Amino acid sequence: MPTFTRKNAWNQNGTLDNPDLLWYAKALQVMQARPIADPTSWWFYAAIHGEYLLPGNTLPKPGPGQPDYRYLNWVNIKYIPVGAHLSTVPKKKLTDLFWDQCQHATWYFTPWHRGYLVALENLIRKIIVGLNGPADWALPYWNYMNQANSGAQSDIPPAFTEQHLPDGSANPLLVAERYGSGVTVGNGRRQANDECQWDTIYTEGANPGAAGPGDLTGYYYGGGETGFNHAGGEETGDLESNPHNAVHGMVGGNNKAKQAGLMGVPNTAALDPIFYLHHANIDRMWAAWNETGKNPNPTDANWQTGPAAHGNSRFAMPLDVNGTAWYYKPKDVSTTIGLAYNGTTYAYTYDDLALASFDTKQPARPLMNLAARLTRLNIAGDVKNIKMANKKERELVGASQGSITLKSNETNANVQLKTAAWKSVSNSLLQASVTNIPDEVFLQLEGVKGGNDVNFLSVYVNDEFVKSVSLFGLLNASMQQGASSGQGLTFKFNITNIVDNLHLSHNIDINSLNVKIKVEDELPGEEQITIDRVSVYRVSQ
Amino acid sequence: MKPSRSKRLAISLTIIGTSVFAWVLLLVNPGHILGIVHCHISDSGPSAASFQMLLAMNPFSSQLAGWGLMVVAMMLPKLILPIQDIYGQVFKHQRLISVLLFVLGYIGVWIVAGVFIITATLVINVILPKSYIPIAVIGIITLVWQFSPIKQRCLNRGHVHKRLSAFGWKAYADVLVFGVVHGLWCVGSGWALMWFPMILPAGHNFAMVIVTFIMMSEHLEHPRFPGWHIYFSSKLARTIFTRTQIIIKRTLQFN
Ligand SMILES: [Cu+2]
Repeated sequence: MPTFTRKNAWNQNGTLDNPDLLWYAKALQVMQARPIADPTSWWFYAAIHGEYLLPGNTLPKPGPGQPDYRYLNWVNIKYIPVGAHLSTVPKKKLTDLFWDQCQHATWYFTPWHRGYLVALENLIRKIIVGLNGPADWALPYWNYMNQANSGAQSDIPPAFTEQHLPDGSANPLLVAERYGSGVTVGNGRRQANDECQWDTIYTEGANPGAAGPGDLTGYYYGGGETGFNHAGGEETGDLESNPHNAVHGMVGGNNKAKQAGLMGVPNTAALDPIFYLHHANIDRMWAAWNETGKNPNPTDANWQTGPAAHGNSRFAMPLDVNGTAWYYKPKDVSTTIGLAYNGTTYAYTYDDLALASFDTKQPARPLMNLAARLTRLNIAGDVKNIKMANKKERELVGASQGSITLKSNETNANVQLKTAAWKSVSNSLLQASVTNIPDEVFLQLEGVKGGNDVNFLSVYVNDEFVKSVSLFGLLNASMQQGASSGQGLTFKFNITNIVDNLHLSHNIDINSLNVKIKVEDELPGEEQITIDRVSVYRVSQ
Repeated sequence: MKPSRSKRLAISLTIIGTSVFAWVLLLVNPGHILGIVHCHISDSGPSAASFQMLLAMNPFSSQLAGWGLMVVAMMLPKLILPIQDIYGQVFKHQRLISVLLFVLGYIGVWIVAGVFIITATLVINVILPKSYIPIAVIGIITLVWQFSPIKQRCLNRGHVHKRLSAFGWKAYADVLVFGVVHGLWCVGSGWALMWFPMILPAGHNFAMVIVTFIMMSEHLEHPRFPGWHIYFSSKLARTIFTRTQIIIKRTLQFN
């Protein structure tokens, strides 16, 4: 088997002159002409990621005064043509095995999506070959971070907004319910970036990494260990959070009626052809992180085995019209060269494996780097040989009282600190040395519930900006139906930086922290966002 | 924030240890110290003609104690995840008391359910002593309940983990309420299954093991849309199978 090369969608200025895009569009016409009951149809493939179509999954009629999300039900989506025959869903055996698999807010986010793309890429190539197209076709990626022509590549490639293909037929890449026009790149509020590429640790776990830029501003590259249940999103890794989630929200966007675009919501996102180019880019970043960044994937059997390690379903992708399944584990897809695919090996690479495209220098923020942190805290010694601790103890340090309702604009929450627990934090800073690394401190927004997935929250602690987060997945996490128990999302922020500052300015003797949360897009009338609890934790090192 | 991996393991082992201890008491029943409820049929024999006599031979209090032991043995492992969750979200010095309050609330609900179930069992034994009719009827009820949407709804709600207040008396109240609510959904999904072994004229120990297996397994399943599903969960079996493989693999790697 040859090694296929996935190329930049912005080649030939991202127009339909780019053969990768043109053939993608032509193959999509074929897939989209198939009914949803066919496992090789576009609609079936999108439902593998998630759907609002099966009876148990559709969004219900709202109660009085409640916002209505039924526009997301697949039967109401204009992009899906009559020929999809949504009324005839596939056999239960097939939907049970394949549909609603997407792995979000877990450490399986990267491997599941890699397998998803590989299966689709092979399916599409077969169609393209059948149309006498190039046999070496590979899925193009959209690198919105690319700064080559002064950031123009942050826009959606023009091929996705044309009305027609060169032969005059309707362009399947054009989606009526796509309201964003591109990605806002930057390191500030409501912006997407590739700072995550500077992480050096995929996850917490048994193998402590060397000290260095790890997860010091976020929560690990690939996410936290995911066990029996993963309700909530506490385990969302840095790559998934930003750029992945952020780009979903920006591309989906809102229309005038404040309805989210398909890309903005997990259960409709994979209907939009741009989805797979976005994910090819996320996959490219992961590959670059491994190959160029020389960062390893977890060796932990729990990760390598996948959700099956905890008795959950294996990853499965349909290969043909009969629904023959390719089952895979994270271990099978942890590299792009020699990937274990359906009993053979498969190989692909990217024409650009630069570690980062926007944050090309290691971010200056002191906390990206343990050595810098210690220098800043005036701790002398050689940090090269420090290993991250194996047993990190976690402890609640403070919390808000009662739940918080967010309005448009900003809301302040007071996080009261428990004296004894906060003392442990300040003591760890006072007694810090190279062998006694001071605590890291995390802020969590717990049980965030609402309905508008494309919105962003920007978080400040004591008026210092911490991070913006995309609310991708909010609606699903807030509904008590399907596989969700309605507990909302949890967001985790590393605020060690801010606590270090308090220590350095001798202001650490406090009994509360001020947390300011800005809702970036105005909430429509009935809509609200609630947070069950805002908490602060210490993690001993 | 969920506890560290080693803490999570310690919590699991403590809970499993307690449950195993309760199982040993249940199965061995040394010196018949426990008037275990399911023993009453053999105790009372065919002469058990009146409710009073039956009660005299099987004091209600000791039957309830036996029931409580059954609940501890069979249900405790199902509390691992919520207990880890509580442990992670309360202040350090409140961890133990919070967990105990949660367990108290949870078991309290099962004890109340036990009063009804034991009474019903006694009544059935008076009316139809040594008969297989009750077990057939309850078997059917159990099966119907098992596949019903109400049961699925209860299982789904059992996955909800409450966010707790951190400060003051509300912290304690919240965790107790969490235990009670969790117990209610658990009784809702499991009352028929728990009743089944008690009404069996023979083989209740074996039935208890099977029932525990079923309940653990369905508890581990992800929430699903409530509806009539004819479905037997194999999740626990799958989990044990892969966990064993992983443990063997790890042991081989480290040696
Ligand atoms: Cu995605």
